[in-house]
Amino acid sequence: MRSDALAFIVRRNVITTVAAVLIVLLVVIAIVGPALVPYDPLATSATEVLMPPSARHWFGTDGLGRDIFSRVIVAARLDIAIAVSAVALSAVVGVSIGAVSGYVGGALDRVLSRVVDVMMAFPLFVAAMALVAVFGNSVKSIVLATAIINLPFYFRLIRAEIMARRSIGYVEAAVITGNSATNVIFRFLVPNSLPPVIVQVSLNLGWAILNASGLAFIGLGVAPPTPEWGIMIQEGAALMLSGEWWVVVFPGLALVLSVFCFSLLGDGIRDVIDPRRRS
Amino acid sequence: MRHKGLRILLARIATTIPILFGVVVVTFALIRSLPGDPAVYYASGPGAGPAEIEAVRRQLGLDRSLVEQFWRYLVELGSGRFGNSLQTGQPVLADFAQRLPATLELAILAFAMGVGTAIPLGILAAVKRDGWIDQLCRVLSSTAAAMPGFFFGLILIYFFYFLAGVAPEPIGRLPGWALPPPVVTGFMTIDCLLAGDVELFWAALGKMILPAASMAIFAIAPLLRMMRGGMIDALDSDYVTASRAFGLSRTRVLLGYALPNALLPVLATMGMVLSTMIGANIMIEKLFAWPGIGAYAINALIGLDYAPVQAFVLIVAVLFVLMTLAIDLISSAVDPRYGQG
Repeated sequence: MRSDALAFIVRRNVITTVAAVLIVLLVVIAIVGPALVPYDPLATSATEVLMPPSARHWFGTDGLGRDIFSRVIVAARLDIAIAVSAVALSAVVGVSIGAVSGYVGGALDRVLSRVVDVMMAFPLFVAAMALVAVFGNSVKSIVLATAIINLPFYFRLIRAEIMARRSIGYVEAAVITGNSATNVIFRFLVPNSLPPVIVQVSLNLGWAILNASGLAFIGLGVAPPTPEWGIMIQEGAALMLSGEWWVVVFPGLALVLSVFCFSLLGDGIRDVIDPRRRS
Repeated sequence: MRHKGLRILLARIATTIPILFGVVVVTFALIRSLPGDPAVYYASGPGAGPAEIEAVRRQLGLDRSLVEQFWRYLVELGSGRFGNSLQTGQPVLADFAQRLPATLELAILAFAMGVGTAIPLGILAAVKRDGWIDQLCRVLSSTAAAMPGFFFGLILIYFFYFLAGVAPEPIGRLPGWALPPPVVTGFMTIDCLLAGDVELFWAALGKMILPAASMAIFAIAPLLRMMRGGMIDALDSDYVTASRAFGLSRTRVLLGYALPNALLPVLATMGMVLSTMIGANIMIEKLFAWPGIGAYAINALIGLDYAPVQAFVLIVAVLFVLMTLAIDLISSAVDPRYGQG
């Protein structure tokens, strides 16, 4: 019965399934890739500088003779790790605070909502920049900054869901049978309000990768020679003027493809969960 | 009726006051939590000695209570003192005034390009729903949403500068050989025209096209999606069916009745578009060595020159809040239903 249902969903959502498969592949690459790459991603070579893609170096080599294929693969781990940990942190904290705020209401809710309004007053990338400056220039700061600037979205999403569900039968039943407030919120309300959060998480992952690579591109967070897609693009930028396209294009394509898959998956999950909002 | 509308308007404007206050509190906290000593940022330059820094510290009241410090901060802001940049040695506000026109000029062109691409395509996609144009638009908006502007910009540079050779060297606002026209508005294209130099005007415009297109890519995806969705809703509505039944021409129905209604959801996403454009502006200015406030702020941040950074964050956030307010007010002026349920 269950596998039938799964087969049905897969047949109806081919693109989403392809995106999901690609993401699984990406995660596998992020986990095992660094062990399998043909070259050391940091090893420079004075004799093989700026070689175009060939059988020896599939994606060519960069200005220091490093193998770009190896660097793109190794970078996947860092970029995915940053995105996943930032979004997980943001979702868990945002959902917890938002759920309590929406359920308790009153002065607490008013104060928290005001705080969130102020957080939303900063354009996302500018807020990320400023936070990285405060926390210091490191990968951990990028994760923290990305998590913080996304908090308001989870807060608002779950708060609205909780407020809409507070007086539904099963919640009142849970209250009457003597559940504590914590129990009502986290055992009854939050699990039932999760679907839109899952959609948000998937869309957010792609965005978080873009954000992290954007910060790295302007010189924040990740420092060379660490392989990271944004930094690799930045390092190759000047070479575009002289036509060595492969230094930029391969990390760029890796970036675009992963963001693309996450947003396709997010759209797909939304369609499955909420057919009315199908685009 | 009128009074009620006015009261709603004032109430909406009033809601931004606590937000603006919060923004000022956050930037105040930002300066205090940045690594290093604020007195050093406010001292007049890298050559500032310990005596001068101590004087600045006393002048800023950094030895007083936080409340008193915050009050002084408000007074400083009120009189337009944002400190000095260590890198340029100038007051931050003067640096901003000098660079803002370059940013605005580029942003306006980028915004026009984004809207000019997304709106017609969105309308076409909705009218020819599920046709090949629609499919193409779907691919375009998904790709644009996944495409970082700095990568797109580099691809454009490769094709148009390196391969085709039609684009000028992607650095700065003017070709290397050109003497800049006398600064009147700060908008390079307009200043060129005011100076009567048409050739330089075209050169300046040419320099703007690649960076503007790279910035516009950020705006296209959300605009295109909302335009298509809004137009589809409008075309399915009773008033469009009715106006068709009245025998109005197709163009009239589309552009006269459906379009204005379809633009409302587009207007509502404008805040998000604005937010991404501001972020895009920083990356693109950095990529194209565009001498605007985005590049200025990021160079200051990298150089640990924090006075410009906090001023940038404050100014951009205040501008963003005010523009969001303006979008809100326009939306409710155009659509009485807006914000009522």
